[in-house]
Amino acid sequence: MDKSLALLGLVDSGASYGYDLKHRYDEVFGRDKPIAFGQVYAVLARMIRDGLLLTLGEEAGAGPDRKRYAITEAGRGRIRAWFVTPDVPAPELAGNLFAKVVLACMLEEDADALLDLQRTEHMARMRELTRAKQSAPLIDAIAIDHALFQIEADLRWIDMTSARLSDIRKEIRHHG
Amino acid sequence: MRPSAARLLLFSNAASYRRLAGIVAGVAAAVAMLLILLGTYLHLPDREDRGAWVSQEVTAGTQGYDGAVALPDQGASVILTRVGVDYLDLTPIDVVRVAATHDTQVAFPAGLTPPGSGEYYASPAMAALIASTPPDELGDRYGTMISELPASTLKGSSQLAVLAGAEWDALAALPGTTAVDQFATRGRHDDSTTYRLVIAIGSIALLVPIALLIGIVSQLGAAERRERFATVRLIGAGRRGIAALSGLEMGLASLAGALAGIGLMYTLRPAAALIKISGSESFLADLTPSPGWMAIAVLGVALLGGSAAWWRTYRDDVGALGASRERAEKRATVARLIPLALGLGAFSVATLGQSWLDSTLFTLGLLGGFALTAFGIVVAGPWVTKVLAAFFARHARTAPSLVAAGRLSRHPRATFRSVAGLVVAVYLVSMFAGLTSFLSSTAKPREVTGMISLDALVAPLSHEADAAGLVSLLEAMPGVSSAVLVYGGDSTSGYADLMTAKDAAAVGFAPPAGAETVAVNMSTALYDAADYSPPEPPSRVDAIGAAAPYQVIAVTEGDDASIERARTAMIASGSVAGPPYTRANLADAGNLTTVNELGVMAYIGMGIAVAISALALTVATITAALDRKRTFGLLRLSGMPVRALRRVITTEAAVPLSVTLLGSAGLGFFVAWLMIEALGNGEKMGAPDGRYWIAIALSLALGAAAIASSFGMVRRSTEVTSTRFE
Amino acid sequence: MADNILTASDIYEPSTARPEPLIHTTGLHKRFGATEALRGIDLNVHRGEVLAVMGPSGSGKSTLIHCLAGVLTPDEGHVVVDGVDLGALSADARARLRLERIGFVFQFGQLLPDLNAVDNVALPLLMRGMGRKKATSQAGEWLDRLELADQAAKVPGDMSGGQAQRVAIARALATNPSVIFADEPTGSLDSVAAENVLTAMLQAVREAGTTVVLITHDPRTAAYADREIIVRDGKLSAASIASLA
Repeated sequence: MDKSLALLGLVDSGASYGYDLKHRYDEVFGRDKPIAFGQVYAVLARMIRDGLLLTLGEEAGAGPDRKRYAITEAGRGRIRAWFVTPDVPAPELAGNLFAKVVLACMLEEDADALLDLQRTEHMARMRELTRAKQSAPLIDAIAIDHALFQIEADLRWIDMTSARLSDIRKEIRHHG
Repeated sequence: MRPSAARLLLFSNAASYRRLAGIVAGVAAAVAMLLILLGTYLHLPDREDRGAWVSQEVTAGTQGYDGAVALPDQGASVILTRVGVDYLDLTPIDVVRVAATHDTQVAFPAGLTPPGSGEYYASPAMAALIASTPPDELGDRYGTMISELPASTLKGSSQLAVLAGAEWDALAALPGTTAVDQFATRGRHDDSTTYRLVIAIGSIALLVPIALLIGIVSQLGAAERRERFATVRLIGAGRRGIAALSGLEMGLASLAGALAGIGLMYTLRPAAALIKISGSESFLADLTPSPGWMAIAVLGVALLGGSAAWWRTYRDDVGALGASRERAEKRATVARLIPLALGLGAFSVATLGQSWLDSTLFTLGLLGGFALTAFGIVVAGPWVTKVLAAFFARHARTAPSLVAAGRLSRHPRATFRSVAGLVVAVYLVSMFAGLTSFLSSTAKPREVTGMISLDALVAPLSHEADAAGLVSLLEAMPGVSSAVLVYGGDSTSGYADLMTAKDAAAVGFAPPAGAETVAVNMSTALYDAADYSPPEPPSRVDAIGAAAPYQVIAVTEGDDASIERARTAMIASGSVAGPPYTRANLADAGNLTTVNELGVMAYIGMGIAVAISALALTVATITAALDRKRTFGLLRLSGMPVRALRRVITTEAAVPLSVTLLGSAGLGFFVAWLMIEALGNGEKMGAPDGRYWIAIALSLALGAAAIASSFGMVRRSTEVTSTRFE
Repeated sequence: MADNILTASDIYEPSTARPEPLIHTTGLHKRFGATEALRGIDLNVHRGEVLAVMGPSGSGKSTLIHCLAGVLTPDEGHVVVDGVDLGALSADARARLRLERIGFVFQFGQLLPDLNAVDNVALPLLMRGMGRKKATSQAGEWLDRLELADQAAKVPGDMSGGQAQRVAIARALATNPSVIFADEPTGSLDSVAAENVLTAMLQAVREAGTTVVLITHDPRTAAYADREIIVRDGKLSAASIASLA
């Protein structure tokens, strides 16, 4: 999962202070594995250098946790682009897709389209694999089947999440 | 089993209510008919006993004959009786004339006062007839009515009977008068035995279609029921438990149906009473079994229904797993022909060996053979259907025939059961038509030169007859064109009957030209030969000579009123020795009435059987279509036109029906032929009369209507929009 | 604008770029009482392709299929199948069209339980007027092609689910239809049987060049198709519309 983009998105959604960012990240994405402060600040610094973020005002003697960050136009562009770029179906996909969906809800972007896009990509991948399976020896076919089942699992998740989007948005609005 | 589970099983939806309602209705109809048949059966001897006084049993004196009478002297201990059959048009009337002394000790039926000369008692139906007919056509024959005969002296409500008084000497002078010291109170029971046999056969004949109908109705939604039973078994009910439940359900339904049947019986009684038995309609009480018998019938039916359902459910139990695939029928084997063969065997043994068997064994063989044959047809049918289907499947050319052939091959029992009722009905009708065919070969009187005119009345003259006076009396009557005398010749002329040529021509003979007197053969002139061979022509004789007149013939203008007036006048004159008869009356022999009555009963019974069978066919056809709703619906979705489906349904019924109908008709005629050959007096089986063909046409028409009535349901249930893709 | 100007190559090379779609529909609307089942669907099904139609239950996909097959008449919009405008045909004519040009495969219950495999497959041929002998032999050939020769004399009750479905496919193919509508053909089968059935079906249709519209909710089944469309709430999903361009 692309942590930098996740943080970028969180900044856009209103978590502007460094300290808030770390806690927000842990709340949404880091339940099992909280992110380290150091990593947060390193990522933030890099993004400022890349022009995706800027700092607002400076309090004298304030450390990075007290800095206020805001997203730039370029930063917003990056996030939109990230949303409309489907991922290659792969086991590590889960975190990334999850992040995209949640953030899209927070940012009131079109999460339906996002999921649809991913679904189409998944289906295309399944078609490729299925075609490959037709002419493959049985041992390879078994490996392909495994991949197919994984993709199917993803699709099931996509379908279910699709159906629950309005509830997800409601919940996000409630809990900020 | 918990009541909740029972309710889940039994009264779950509209379809199960419909099924139970159908069973109740079927059982009600069956019980109503059986009760009427039972009641009639039980009361038949009573009827005969009540009317026994109309018979002529000699218990005193010797039988008189023409001229030679050896009757006892007039006294209080005996009476003279003379029994005859009078006619109004073609309706026979039982007339008993009695002559008794004032102080007679002979007990009269129902304690009636002996009628004096010129007085009479009449049955209620006869009294009504007399009242509605001009006296000079009927009432004047008997004198003055005293009162009506009570019901205890009548065999039936429409019986026409007259008990008339006469002068001792006048009666004694008539041929055929006997002396009795008591009236008969017991009939010979020959007739009732015949009718009882017929009723027993009729009951079986009606039982089969109704049992089939009830069977078909109880199979409604059978697949779904089996699944529900499986569910209940899964919950923990045992095999006996659900069998008991099913038995209880059916038992209660049968009980309800039987009780309803009692009510239905009372409703149907008046209609059933109109059917003539032994010449008369029935008293309602004569059709009704006693309360004890009714209770036995009701309980018996309930028990029978309950145990049949118990057994069937127990046997058909599929366990807790249910049946996911379609249940195939058990294979129909050749062994199915065994009951039919046994039945025919028993029948043949009974009829061919009648002379050595005692009457109980004979009746048993006859009845048992008959029942087994009817039952055997139902059992053998599926095997015949299966064989037929295999042949049909090989040669099927169109899609509907192929589909039909498939179903017939795999489900011969179900497909045959739907038509079984009609097949059995046709067997019975054919058997009956065959049996009565030889009787219809008795000739109907025809107007032919050389035979006495159909408009003429012939009567023997009494000993003290005023022949000339009678002739002038008759000729003076309006409606009578001539009255002539026939003279009993002496042996020298060779013929017994002499007439003037003019008289002979007047009554219908063709005397040779130039003859003054002729000799005629009255027998061939009055009775039609079976083969309509021409009567003996009159031959010339020299003179009538010393021959005395012994017969009077009155030629009328042919309308009913004139005939009856002439008849009444002849009887009232006292100059005739017996009732005057037309040729039509003479042709109406006694046993023809019995056969006609049995014919009416049989055809009514068959009509009922056919109607029930047609209903069974409708229910079965609709069920068969609904069971395949999904498959048919999907076929229609794929483009199969509705008319192809209709053809499938029609073929599935028509194929087993056509062949088995021919077979059963043939079987019926064979059985009839066997009976005529073995039990008849050399008569031959002839062609069946018109009523048979009407019955067959009706059966086929009802069958076609039954099938057609399912078409609407078939179309609706397979409608393309009702078979959704999902 | 520039796209509309004929170029020289258009004049000298006849346009075979896009053959006519086999099924073409625009603006399809269908109401059942107060419910709108189809709310404006445009769709092209190309000759020879295998199209998967997906969507949750109640989405209208079955209504869409019914309209495409001429089973239902839409309230608005045209359906043109193989050059024939279904709206111009009577109900009987549409039934005739289904019999002659369309094949159907259902999830279950389509085979006559009283007939063996050969007779089941021969049935539509008989319905089209073919003689019994010829129909039976052609049916036998189709069964061979789907590797069901040893099932020819069996009735559906004696076959496995997968074998029965392959018989159903043989029946659908027997009349050489232009298009086959297959509704959850593997819905009641386990994975291995499903795969066998789908492989057999696709092999047979590719050989014959038949178009297939495959309705399914199962992605792994849909993966056998060339493309898929998703129906949701009576409309095609945005992604589906984009893919149809």
